[in-house]
Amino acid sequence: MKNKSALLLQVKNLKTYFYLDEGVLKAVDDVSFKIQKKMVLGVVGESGCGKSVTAQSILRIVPDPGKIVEGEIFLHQDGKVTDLVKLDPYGKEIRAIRGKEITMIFQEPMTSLSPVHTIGDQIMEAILLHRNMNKNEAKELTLEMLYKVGIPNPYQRINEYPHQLSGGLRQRAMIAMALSCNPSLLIADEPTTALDVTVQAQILELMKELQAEFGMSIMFITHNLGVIAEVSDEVMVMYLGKAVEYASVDEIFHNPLHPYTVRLLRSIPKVGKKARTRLDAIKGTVPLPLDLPPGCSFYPRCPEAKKGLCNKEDPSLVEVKKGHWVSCFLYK
Amino acid sequence: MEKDKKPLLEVKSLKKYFPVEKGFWRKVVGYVRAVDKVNLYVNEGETLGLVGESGCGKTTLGRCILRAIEPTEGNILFRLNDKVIDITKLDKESLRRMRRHAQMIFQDPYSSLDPRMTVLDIVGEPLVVNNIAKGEEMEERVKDLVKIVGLNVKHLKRYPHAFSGGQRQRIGIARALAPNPKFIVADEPVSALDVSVQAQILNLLQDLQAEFKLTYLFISHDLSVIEHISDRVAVMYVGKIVEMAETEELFLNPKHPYTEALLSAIPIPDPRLRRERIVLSGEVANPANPPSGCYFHPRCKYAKDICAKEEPEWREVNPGHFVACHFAEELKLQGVPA
Ligand SMILES: Nc1ncnc2c1ncn2[C@@H]1O[C@H](COP(=O)(O)OP(=O)(O)OP(=O)(O)O)[C@@H](O)[C@H]1O
Ligand SMILES: Nc1ncnc2c1ncn2[C@@H]1O[C@H](COP(=O)(O)OP(=O)(O)OP(=O)(O)O)[C@@H](O)[C@H]1O
Ligand code: SF4
Ligand SMILES: [Mg+2]
Ligand SMILES: [Mg+2]
Repeated sequence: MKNKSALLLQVKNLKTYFYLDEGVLKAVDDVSFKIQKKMVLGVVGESGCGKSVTAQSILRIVPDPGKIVEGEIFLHQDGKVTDLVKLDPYGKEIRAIRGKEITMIFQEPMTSLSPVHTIGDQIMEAILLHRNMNKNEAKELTLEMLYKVGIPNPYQRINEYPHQLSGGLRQRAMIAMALSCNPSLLIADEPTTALDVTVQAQILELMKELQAEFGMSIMFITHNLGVIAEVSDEVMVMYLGKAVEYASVDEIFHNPLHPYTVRLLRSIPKVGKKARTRLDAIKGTVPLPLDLPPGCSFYPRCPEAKKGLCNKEDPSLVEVKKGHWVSCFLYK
Repeated sequence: MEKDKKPLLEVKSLKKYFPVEKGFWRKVVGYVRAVDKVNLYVNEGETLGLVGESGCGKTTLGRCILRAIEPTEGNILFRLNDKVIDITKLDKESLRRMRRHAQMIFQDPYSSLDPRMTVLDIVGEPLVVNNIAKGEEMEERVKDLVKIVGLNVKHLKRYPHAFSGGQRQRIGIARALAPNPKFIVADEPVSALDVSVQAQILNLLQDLQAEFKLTYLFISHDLSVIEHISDRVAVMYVGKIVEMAETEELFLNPKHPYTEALLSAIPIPDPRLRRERIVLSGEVANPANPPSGCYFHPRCKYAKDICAKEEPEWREVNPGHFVACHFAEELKLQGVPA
């Protein structure tokens, strides 16, 4: 474990809803968590549980018809605390934070890379915009970053366009760009999901090295429990827009408490374990977070549910053990 | 599980080369060696897992075996009622009759189903096409199939868009089962699904295998899924099978350096098992312009001079354990933590 360090980001009771014709879709519904400096928070959950919308909320890039309807997102920088929710999403302040203090990488590198500019120009532009450097210094730094992320022949690659790079190299270029301004928080949204295992291993190793060198915090979003175990210090498990469990990575994997976390861990095949047995699947599927009935959102699929309680009231996230938070009536 | 050790399917020196064309006259300037002299067998009633990274030729191999695309060269021997037939030699009509015995399940439940057909049409079509059943009898059969894969019979008249990803995959499975096949190629059947749904579909495939004595070629790039579902595993790299063995043997005692690197890259869902990785340098070779000798040599940390010069021979180093590496007998390689 890394030693205890200072708070970087605190999200409190965040609610981000989409106002659709069919009704109000509660993509993020009362989520709270903290990210300490130099720490990796892993965010895990199945498709549609609100991982990406949580990230978009922090950067204030939630697309229409989505809105942050409640909550606070405190960013701590040099003794100054800013509530990102209060900023104008198109204003100067958030733009100075986005791309500088907080940067993001995606599953699909072309989400953040432009196809019509060279890799070099794009990284240099980010540097010139956010750092006090002249063109030559920016170019030097760009080459250095490309080298650091393991792109061979940076002098040649700097003049190439994204489509000239393989998927793995593009991912590296995007990471170089995201880290070029030395952010305090990197949000990585499924950065390795589209990659082959060996390339994924390369990128995960790279991210670990870079984190050791640059000391940024990472919010690592993925649905892959193996990747989560590999990279995280702390883990938040999401289900249907809620954080159902939040604890150190060791607690999540060796002492999971929420029935969803427990079942999720049991439902995946694990290498090295006796193969060819049946998997312990969770029944049913994740519903859309539209017009959900009251009660715990996992109630319809939960084998331990208590009728009359779990389908009547909402459990809240409580600290059942130092640093281990669970939202479930079994732990009160 | 009790297994009959007779091969149902045997693939010999199978090749599929796609021509690379250039210019107005579409001159052939080279070939993509998507499947390059592949040898493998699948025993009756077992699952052979086929694993490898994107573009290594898994789908092409699976489709060639069913002759959904024409192989360039080689033999595909299939045992039917104790007679061995070579699928590559069949004429159109015999191939059509053969097809009902060998079916395919696809990765993408969203695009593999015709959006204008109802569940009844989708699952019933192979019954009609193969003259197995029609009219009311067909409908009864479809109802049975739909129940078997865990869908609601009341939904027969619905269209694919009204179902979730997992349900659509069930429809695809029901369709593949319809003509009562012996052999199924499942091409990444769970890759597009969420983990909890993935578990349901893997269980379903195992149940169906036991119930109908099915033989599977299960294609996936996910090694954890492959280990879970397969009796034996074949590892593919740039159009070639580089290693094939029983699952446990392959995972605990790999003999090919590429297999070792693949196993070392698996993220293990246990933070106490974080480990040093073999991080491969460079990238997967281009199948249109593969390296000399062993295709893996530019990335292999055990490579010696011979590896760039000579192609390693495909050979059985232990009973049932096949490898193509010059040093398979000597190397001490790491498997997954047991
Ligand atoms: N632009 C949008 N308009 C309407 N609904 C949206 C929009 N973006 C997200 N949603 C909905 O919000 C919910 C949360 O989506 P989100 O993208 O955060 O999920 P996720 O956990 O990132 O899933 P995945 O693993 O598939 O990326 C989902 O129900 C989704 O359908
Ligand atoms: N019709 C085609 N014409 C030309 N090249 C092709 C064709 N189909 C496949 N290829 C090439 O053959 C190689 C093998 O492709 P294939 O789709 O079989 O790989 P795969 O292992 O299934 O990959 P994935 O994991 O991405 O599905 C690739 O280089 C691909 O570009
Ligand atoms: S033949 Fe040589 S290059 Fe190929 S895997 Fe074996 S040692 Fe490595
Ligand atoms: Mg997402
Ligand atoms: Mg494929």
